[in-house]
Amino acid sequence: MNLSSQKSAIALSASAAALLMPVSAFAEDGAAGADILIPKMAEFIPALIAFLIIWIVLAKVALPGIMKTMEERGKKIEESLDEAEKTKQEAIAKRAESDSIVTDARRQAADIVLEARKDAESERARIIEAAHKEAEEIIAKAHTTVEDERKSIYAGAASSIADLSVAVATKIVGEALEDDAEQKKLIERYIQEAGSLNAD
Amino acid sequence: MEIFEKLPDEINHLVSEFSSTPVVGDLSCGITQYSFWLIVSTIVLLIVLAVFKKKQTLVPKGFFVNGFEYIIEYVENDIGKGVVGENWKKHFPFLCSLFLFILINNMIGLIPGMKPGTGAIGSTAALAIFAFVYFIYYGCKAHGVIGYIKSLAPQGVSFPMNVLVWVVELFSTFLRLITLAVRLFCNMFAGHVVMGSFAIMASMFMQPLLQQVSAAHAVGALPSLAWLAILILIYAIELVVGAIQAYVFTVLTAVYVSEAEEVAEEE
Amino acid sequence: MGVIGYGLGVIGAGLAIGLSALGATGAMARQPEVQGRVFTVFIMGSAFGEALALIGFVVALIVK
Repeated sequence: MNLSSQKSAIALSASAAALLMPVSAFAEDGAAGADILIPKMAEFIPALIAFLIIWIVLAKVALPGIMKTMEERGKKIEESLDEAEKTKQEAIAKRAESDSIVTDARRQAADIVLEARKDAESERARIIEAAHKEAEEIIAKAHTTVEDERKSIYAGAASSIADLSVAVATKIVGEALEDDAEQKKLIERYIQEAGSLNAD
Repeated sequence: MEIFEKLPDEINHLVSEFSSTPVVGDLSCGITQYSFWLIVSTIVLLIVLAVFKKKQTLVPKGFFVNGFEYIIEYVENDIGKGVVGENWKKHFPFLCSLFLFILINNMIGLIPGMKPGTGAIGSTAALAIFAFVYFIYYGCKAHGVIGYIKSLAPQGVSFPMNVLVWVVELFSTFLRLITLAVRLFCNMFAGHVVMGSFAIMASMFMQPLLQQVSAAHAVGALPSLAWLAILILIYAIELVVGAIQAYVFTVLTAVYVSEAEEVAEEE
Repeated sequence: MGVIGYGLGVIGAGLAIGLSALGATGAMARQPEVQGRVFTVFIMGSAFGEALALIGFVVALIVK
């Protein structure tokens, strides 16, 4: 019973739906039939021609230029990158070289300064020593000269004192002493002995 | 509500408007509304190509040049190198012109008042026949005509099954032509029908309000906003679908070409 | 009747798109670096399923 009433209910609803559907469809014969799925020549031929035109234009005229430009650009980018890499390597090498040159130059400069200083030191020492020596020489020479002078003065003084004492003795004695030369020699001897006492 | 009763009639009327009606001449020799817009989009594509060729420099600047180059590079990388393999350069003009042609047609069809050139089965059938002839031609060039027909059967299978599978493969090869055409046509046609229906529903719901401004009519016109929101959503979807269908057509052609050309790797 | 047929056809298309999304998210979760390629395959798979659904839609509109 349940099953049959269910079945009849289903059949009723199905028939109602089937009856209701065609009503709206018959009301207007407007829906496109199957002929929108059939190709029509009026569209087929213009589409063929239009696509052929576009294909030929692209293949012969447009695409070679476009692809060439894109390839050129790719190649140029690659070249630029390579060149940049190479330049960078060169720059690094040159920098290392210049660094070593600068280090060398600095070292040489330090050496030169050191040597110059050493030279200056030795020169100064030499000059000072030479000056000392010369000063000593001068002093020694001066001493010798003074000695000579003194001796000659003494010798002069001795002979004039001898003369003077003979003259005084002559005056005192009153008589002229003969043999001046012998007396002189005696007196000089005495003066020398006395003079050596003065020289002390 | 009486609006929902009037709706099926309106939609039937809308759908019947989509069938091709000749503008010049008649249906077998003339120009229908779809072919007219097809010719318009061809001219637009030629203009775009000329402008691009003039503006292209070694260093690209600007939105238009960059965008167009992006499209061409996309076809080259994804479809050419990815699917076809080594000798993509030979097939690149055909694939590129297919992609650009279908893309421009779909996009122009989205502008209100204009119709897509690919929205009629005649034009998509023309494109599908081009692709079909192209890949069969290259298959025959690679294997020889008899060899190509023989290569439809798989290698490692023994005699009776071989023939059966060969028959199925032959049928499926011819089916490729039909599915290519019908897929593109249905996407464009159905998209525009759906957009049209939502526009009709929005306008039908607004009609009582426009005839007589009153509170009851204002409330009754509220669903129009929902239909309008859905319409904008479907518009965006149609943009994406247009590009995707162009891509799918081109990729499938590339797959068929690469499959027809594969030589001596079946050992 | 045509509408019911179309409704039944869309079940298949919905399954197709859902399964392709399932595969896509699983693949992207396991290996995020293939995201671009997997997304492209997902869109292609959905396009095929949607094409079949739309063929059903057109047939439903055609058959009276």
